[in-house]
Amino acid sequence: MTPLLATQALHCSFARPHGARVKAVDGVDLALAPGEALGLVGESGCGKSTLLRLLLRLQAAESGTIRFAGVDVTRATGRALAPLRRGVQAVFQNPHAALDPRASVFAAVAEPLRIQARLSRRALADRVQGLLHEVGLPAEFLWRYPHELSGGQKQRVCIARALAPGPKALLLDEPTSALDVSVQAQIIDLLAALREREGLAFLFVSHNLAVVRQLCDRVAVMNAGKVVEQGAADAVLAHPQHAYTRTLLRAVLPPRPRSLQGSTAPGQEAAR
Amino acid sequence: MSLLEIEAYRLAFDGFEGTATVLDGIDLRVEEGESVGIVGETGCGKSVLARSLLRLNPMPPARVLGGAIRFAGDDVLTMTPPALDALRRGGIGMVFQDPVTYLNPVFTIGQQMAEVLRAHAAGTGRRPEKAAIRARTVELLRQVQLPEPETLLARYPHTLSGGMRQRVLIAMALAGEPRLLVADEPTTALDVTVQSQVLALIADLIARMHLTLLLITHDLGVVGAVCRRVVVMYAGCVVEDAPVDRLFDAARHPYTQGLLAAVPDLERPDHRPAGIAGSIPNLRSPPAGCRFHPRCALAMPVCRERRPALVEAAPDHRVACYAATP
Amino acid sequence: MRAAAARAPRGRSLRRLRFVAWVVGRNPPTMLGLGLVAVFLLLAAIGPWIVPDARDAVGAMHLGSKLLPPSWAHWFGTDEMGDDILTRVVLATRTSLWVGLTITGIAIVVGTPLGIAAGYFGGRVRSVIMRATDMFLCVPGLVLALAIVAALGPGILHGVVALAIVWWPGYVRLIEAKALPLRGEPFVDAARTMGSSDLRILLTHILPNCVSPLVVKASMDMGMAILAAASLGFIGLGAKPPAPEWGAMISTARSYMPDSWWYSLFPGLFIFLTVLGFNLLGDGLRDILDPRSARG
Repeated sequence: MTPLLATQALHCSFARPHGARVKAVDGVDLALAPGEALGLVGESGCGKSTLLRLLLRLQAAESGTIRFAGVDVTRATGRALAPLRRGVQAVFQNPHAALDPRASVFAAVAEPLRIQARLSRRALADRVQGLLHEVGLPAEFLWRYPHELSGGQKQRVCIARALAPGPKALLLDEPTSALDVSVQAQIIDLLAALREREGLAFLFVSHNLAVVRQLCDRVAVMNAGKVVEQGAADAVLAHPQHAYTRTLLRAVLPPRPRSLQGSTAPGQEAAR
Repeated sequence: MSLLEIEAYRLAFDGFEGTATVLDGIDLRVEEGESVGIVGETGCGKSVLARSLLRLNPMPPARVLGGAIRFAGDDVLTMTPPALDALRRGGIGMVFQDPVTYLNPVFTIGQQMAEVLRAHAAGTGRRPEKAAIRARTVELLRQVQLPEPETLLARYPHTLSGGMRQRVLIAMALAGEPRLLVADEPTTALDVTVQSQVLALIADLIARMHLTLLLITHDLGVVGAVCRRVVVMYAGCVVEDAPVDRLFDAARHPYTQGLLAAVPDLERPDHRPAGIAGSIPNLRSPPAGCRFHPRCALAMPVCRERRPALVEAAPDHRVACYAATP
Repeated sequence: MRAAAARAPRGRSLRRLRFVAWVVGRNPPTMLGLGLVAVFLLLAAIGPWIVPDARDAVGAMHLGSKLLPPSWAHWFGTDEMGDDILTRVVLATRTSLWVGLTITGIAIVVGTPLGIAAGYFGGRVRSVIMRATDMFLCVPGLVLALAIVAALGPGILHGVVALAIVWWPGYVRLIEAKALPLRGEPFVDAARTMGSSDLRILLTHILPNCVSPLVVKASMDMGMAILAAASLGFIGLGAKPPAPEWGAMISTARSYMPDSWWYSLFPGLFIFLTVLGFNLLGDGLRDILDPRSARG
């Protein structure tokens, strides 16, 4: 079966002062099958966010290919890019910044529809209201502005906006890390339900391994721009093979108290 | 006498849409040598409470409605400016969430540490020598286990990693030899592996230096790692106050129970975390009675009418809930 | 019932108005600024109908009442032609308003698109626009005005053209600085992932988020432009003599100082209060226009 979204030997690097280059994404091969939930874990600076931006074509890859439903979209523009824009949508980490402070909830959710579909005023209003309903927001939120919403409500608006074009895959960049735990559980439940109902594929970027284990079938672990380990979520998180995966797992604070293990000195965390 | 005593403290913020009672009758004691965690979600007032200890909330819009905050017996709310300065310099050390914004990008670590030390010395009327300041800076940086503190002195904040910056800020907070260290979400901006190192450092400092710690966080896991006692806040009120083990094993308040049930556990993948239905109340018009009752499965008629007091439900374990206390 | 969702409920704008009143009410300087600007606009609107004798502004002469100090008959005194200074000062508000609006208007119309383009597109577009802007910033306004007036002859229009030429770069810089961080905002990224065109992003996201600094600067610039126009009048490049203009009046009044102090005092006071009013109002607008400040 053709993967929905796949990368092959994808590279991207950034210039640093003094002429150095940092390889943010360093030869990544990844495939997301239709309907699959793939977790992408790693710490800040490991390249997972850059990879996401490459997949969304917000940033240009240096080399390698990105395929959407088998078609090379690495350098596609204009009409050739339209299938990707319809089929792949994103939910960003910080819902406070992901919504235009001057746009109402209605305007935010209607935006992709205005761009991609020609709907009558009435059809547009109906569709927006339907989308809000799908993410569990009542119609009275339509004319509120982002600053009047809680973090969880904003994230629901972002999810409704991402669903509007009828995508086949959602790329989720730490969608719950800016939210409270009691809200996080609600959003995770919502995402799981949506996935089931719409048959969506997820690429779920997170540093929270517990959430990844809950939501994802497969996990890929990234470190320094490379995927160091990937496999079934249960297998990777229960029996990690790579040393970095083990370090990551050791650092997770269990919800129940436990004395801390390991050294107190700064370890491998790279200085900038 | 406790080191820190907060009694029936109430604080409000005035705004366009009315007055929000952000802290409504906070009762809290911290004994010398204790490590206490304050846990709560966005908007529960935990950071405002932390800032109140040093009177850092801008007034207006903030306004104290009543109650008292005493540090080592001195009333913080009525303190004269010089006494408040002394408290800020030496009594209470503060570490904030975002280590980037609390370091000045145009000065080196050494310069900023020296500045802090000079301010402390000025408070006691001494004029320390350059060498003494340098030696003390190096000592402080060593205390927070930063490698090669001598070379660190000449570096600028942007050349340090997030974890190292947070260590520098902890060192600065320790410079005045505070009796109480207040840490407001000290690891929230950090990666998990770095977070566990910084928490281990804090636990280590408490043990070695006999510090009293007040740790503010939204993360129960963080509290479990370093604190002995946990205070749970909801919508400006303390709802539960218990030793860590007791809280995790036998939480009494429905909100605390909900919070514990919402955390996903890597080791128990089949445990399905459940969120708490509803959302935090608008503090400009909070629900009558218990502020949690609209979201509470156990709510009884009395919960809608009278606010439950924080009472001892078991030895050393206080809860503000009618359903949890006979 | 569903179709009703297509339009925003009306209660919002009323609430917004109440919010503005609340901010202004809590902020005495803003209230003062708003009051001064309101008086200024009112005088410009109805001046000719409330002054004692509007003919004093078009060159009437009353040689019997030259340089009289303030009195019940002439509240602000009279000038060397015997004209009522109150009349002339009030009627000059129109000139000032016109000059202020024209200069700031041209500056906004020219500066905003350039600033947005420079900030959003970055790279070469930004380099070209910003270097051109820097060049215009180096031109001293009053000297250019002198040159233009020398070439085209005196008249307030020529002075305004000269000032407008040097005024727009400030807007390019302001808007560029505001648009530059906006292009990296997640909500702009989100719009791109929806397939939004650059033009659409510029119009629906970048421009609306640049409006509040724009309005604040425009308000302050009204004051500055009026001051600059008065300077032009003062050095004799502004309105032609019988037409009233504050700067020109002060310039003439110089010869009658210090005996006829009222002659320069009142036009000066009007300049001062107008500029002060626009500046205070600009400061207050900053608070009102921030959507986040509505949270209170």
